[in-house]
Order: sequence, then C-alpha cells, then structure tokens
Amino acid sequence: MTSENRPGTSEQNARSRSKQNGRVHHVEELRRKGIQKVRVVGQSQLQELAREAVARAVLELAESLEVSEETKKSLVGRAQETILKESREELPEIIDEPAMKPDVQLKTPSTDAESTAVSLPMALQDQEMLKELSRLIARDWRSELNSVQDSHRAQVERLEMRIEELTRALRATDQVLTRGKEEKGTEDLVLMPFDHKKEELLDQLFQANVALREISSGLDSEDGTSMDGEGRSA
Amino acid sequence: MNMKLNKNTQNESDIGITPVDGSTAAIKIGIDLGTSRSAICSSKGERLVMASVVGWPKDAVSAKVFGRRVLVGDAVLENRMALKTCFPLANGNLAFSGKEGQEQETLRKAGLHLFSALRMAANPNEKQAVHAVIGAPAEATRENKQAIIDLAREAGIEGVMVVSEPFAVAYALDALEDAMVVDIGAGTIDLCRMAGSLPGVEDQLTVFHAGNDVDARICELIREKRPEVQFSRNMIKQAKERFSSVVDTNKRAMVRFPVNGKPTEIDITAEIASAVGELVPHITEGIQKLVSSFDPEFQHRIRNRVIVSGGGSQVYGLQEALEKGLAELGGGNVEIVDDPVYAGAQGALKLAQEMPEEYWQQLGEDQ
Repeated sequence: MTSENRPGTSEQNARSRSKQNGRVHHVEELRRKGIQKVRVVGQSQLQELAREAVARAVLELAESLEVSEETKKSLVGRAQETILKESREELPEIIDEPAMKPDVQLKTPSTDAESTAVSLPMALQDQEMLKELSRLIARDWRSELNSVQDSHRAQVERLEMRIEELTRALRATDQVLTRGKEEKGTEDLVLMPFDHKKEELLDQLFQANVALREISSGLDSEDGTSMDGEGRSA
Repeated sequence: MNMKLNKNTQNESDIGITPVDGSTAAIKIGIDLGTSRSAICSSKGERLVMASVVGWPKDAVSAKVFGRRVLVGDAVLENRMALKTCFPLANGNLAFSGKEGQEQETLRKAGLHLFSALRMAANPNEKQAVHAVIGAPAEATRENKQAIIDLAREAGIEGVMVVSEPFAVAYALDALEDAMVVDIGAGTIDLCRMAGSLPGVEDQLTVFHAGNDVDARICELIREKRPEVQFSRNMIKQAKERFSSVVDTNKRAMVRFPVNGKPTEIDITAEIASAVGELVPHITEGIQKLVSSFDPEFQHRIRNRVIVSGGGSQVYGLQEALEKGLAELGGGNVEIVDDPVYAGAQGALKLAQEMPEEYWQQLGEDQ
C-alpha cells in the first residue's frame, strides 16, 4: 500500500491518507520489526475480503436471530445477493522471503493519487454496503418483530376472549350460588325461626332481671307491669 | 362427715367450656335451686347436686367432731342427729322472706350458706368473678326472685339473673317452641308452655303438690294401715325414690322399718303406688289449663310435646300414666329428659354462657 521509492511528497500523501484509511510503513522499518513477508492486497481483493467479513457477520447475526430456518435462509440469501453481487477479481500476490531478496519491488499501485482515488470509492462502497445490510437486517427484524407482535396480539386477543368467557362463567356461577344461598337462608328461616330470635330472647331475659332490680329498689315501685314475662307480683 | 361432692365431669358435647383468661375471666354457673336438692353446673365443667339443707353443730362436742361451724348439703342429712338443721327453701322459694324475727334470720343465714356452698362448688379462683343464672319456680313472686338475687350477691356471686326453672330446662333442650315443660320437684311442679318467645305469666303454672306431698301421703297411708311401724320422713323419701311406681309391676317395695325397735320387713308397694299416682291428675290438669288457654290453632302442637324433667320424672311408668291422662283430654305425647337432675342447671348454665358479656358487666355494676 505504500511505495518505498517515492518518499517526499508521497510520504506526506501517505500520512494524510493514513488519517483516513490507515498508517504507511517503510519497508526498512518493517524489516527492522522482523516482518519478512508482506501480502500485497489489491482493491478487488480487499472488497472481496470486506464482503466476506460482512457475509460472515450476516451469517453470525442470522444464527443469533430467533427466527425460523426459512427466514434465516431468506435473510442470508438476500444479504448474499447484495453483498456478493460483484465477481471476484485477482487473488492476492505472495512475496516469498523478502529478506532474502531485498531488491524485490513490492507490487504497489502505480501512483499515490491512483491509490487514493481507488481507496476512497471503495470505502464509500463498503459504507453503502454496510448501510444496505443494516437496512436489510433492520427490515427483517421489523418484519419478524411485527410477525411476533401480531402473533402475540392474536394470542393476547384469544386470551382476553377466554378471560371474558371465564368471567362470564364465574358470574353465572356466583349468581347460581347466591340464589341457592338465599333460598337456603329462606328455608332456614322457615325451619328454624327461633334460632334467629335467641339474642332477642336473651335480651328480654336481661331486661326482665333489670326491671326486677329496679322494682325492688323502688325506682319503679308503682308500675308492676314493667316486669314483662318473668314472674308476677306477690 | 364431709359434704358429698358428686363432681362428675360433663361431656364436652353437653356444655361449652368458657375459655378462662388467666384467673380473672368470670366463671358462669347455672343453678337449679330446689326445695329438696339443688344442682349446679359450671363453665369449668363442675357438676354437683346437694341436699338443700344447712346444719349447725348442736353443741361444743359436735362442733369439735365436725371441725366446722356450719355444714351444708348431704353431710347434714347424714349427721343430722348431731346438728340443728334448716331447710332454707320452701315450695321452691327462699323461706325466710315470709318469716319474721329469729326464724327469719336463721332461714336467711341458711340460704346464704347454701349459696356460698354452691358458689364454692364452681371452684373459682381467688379473684375470679362468678356469674350465675338461677332457676326459680315458675310462679315465684318478685319478692322471691329479689330475695334470691340479694342472697346470691351476699354469698359472693357478682352477677345474678333469675329465670323460671322449666324455661331453663326448655333452653337446655332447645325446645323453645311448640312444647310444654313439666318440672317435677320436691316442693312444686312447674309447667311452662314454649311458644317461641320468653314465657310470660300466662304461659306458666305452678302446682303446689309435688314430691314432698307424695312423701307425706305415703306416711299417712302407712300409718293408717300399720300404725305400729316406726319411720321418718327421710326413710319414706328414700323408699319412694327407690321403689316409686305408678303402674303395677311384679317388683314389690319391701322395706325394713322398726316395729317396737325390731327391724321388720314391710311391703309398702300399694302405699307408694297410690301416693305417686295421685300426682298424675295434678299434672294433667295443669297441662290442660295451659293448653286450653293457648291459641286453638296451635294447641295440638304443645300437647304433642310434653317434656318431663326433675327428680319426679324418674317415677316408673309416669310417661304412660301421663299419656293415659292426656288421652282423656284429647291426647298427647310425653317424653322424659335423659338427665333430669341436671337438666335445669344445665339450661341455666347455657343461658349464662350465651348471655352477652356486657349484660353481665351491667348487672355486676348495678347490683
């Protein structure tokens, strides 16, 4: 990606590009670092690699989605069409043992300007591609989400209907039980009327004893009839 | 020597046990105050029946023998030769209210000791209040009832209510409507018709011909037939309770009474049967009075359920004799209670327990 024989302006251009696309390294510097082999990757190959990486990411994303296999295949298929629509170009060249052949020239783009001219559109294409992929994924997600929501909505509606049916049944049961209880209460009233009067009877007995005391203490000595029920005067 | 305590524990199904909150919750008791015998049932499960009699040692010797200044209950009858005895009740009422002077004071003290003994039978704790419903004769006067309340209060019973004895029996049996209760005691026979409300004066009747009159009649008949035989009223009473019958049976009432100091076997079957049989017309007449004064539409209901309680209900053949007597007046069904001795006290206890607590508090404050 860089050129050894054109330091000067080319170095400045490389620096400026490195701000956008990466860093420029001298061959000597690479050698000092122990790098013996360098793969020179062409534009089309880089595009291919980018597509492969994106395709791999799409596959991983598709795997992670909780959707049917059919949907996954459809999603991946559409992604493949978009990502891999351009044919594969030249394969990358391998420079064997660069340390043994120090004079070997790395095959590089003809000029920095060309390199820059090619690199920028490639990045834009990748960005566009990723945006498209993102849109696709988002669309599929929305679609899946909608279907899931529809499914949930349908289930919720069915559940609500079922709850309503059960509520109606419950109300009907309550009514039947209440009616039965009222009827039973009426029967009890008829069969055992005195049970409901026991408190009244105890109260009468208490009042009779209170009256007895009052009469005895002279508070009500002239009214012997206030002793209702229990006993009679001498 | 000691008072015989018949502390039979009641069945839980018979009576509710009031939960006692520490030592301060009031004990509820029901008392059947009888001329001859009094019964008590308590919310702690105590039951006791005792002779309604009080005795004081005749002299210093007997006081030393008994070790106490006064005796109450069956112990008095057992040791009456060494005691001055007093029956505080006559015809179901406290006897002192109709007397004067020393006699009145003695009867009043006897009544007080009787109530004290009944209270102690409930076995209250030292600081525990006692609330009592006391059964009185159906036709007890206001003065009689007030005398009962005053004496019971003086004996340490904090809350007192008086109720007619047959009503207490009806309450015990839940026979609160369409029924007639006949309580045959020693001093009176009390009748009460139950029509679903608190019985009034018109619903109750007292027949003053009861167990003591039967005893007296048996004595008369034996004296008429065998004037040489020596016996006491108590001996006749015991024989009556053992052999009494109003129907002919093969069982003979054979007793050993002294004749000129020599124990002699005597047959008194006819005398007992005759005297006891004389009760039946009194009872059927009382039933008829109460039935005939009732709403004609419902007379058959109370006639068809005549419930007999009290010691007199144990007379053999009484049920058949009463039904026979009722047949002549239009018919009726008679049933004898299972527990005649305690039925009244148990009903009184039931009333005491079911009475709202605030009523007891009010009575305790006012009385």
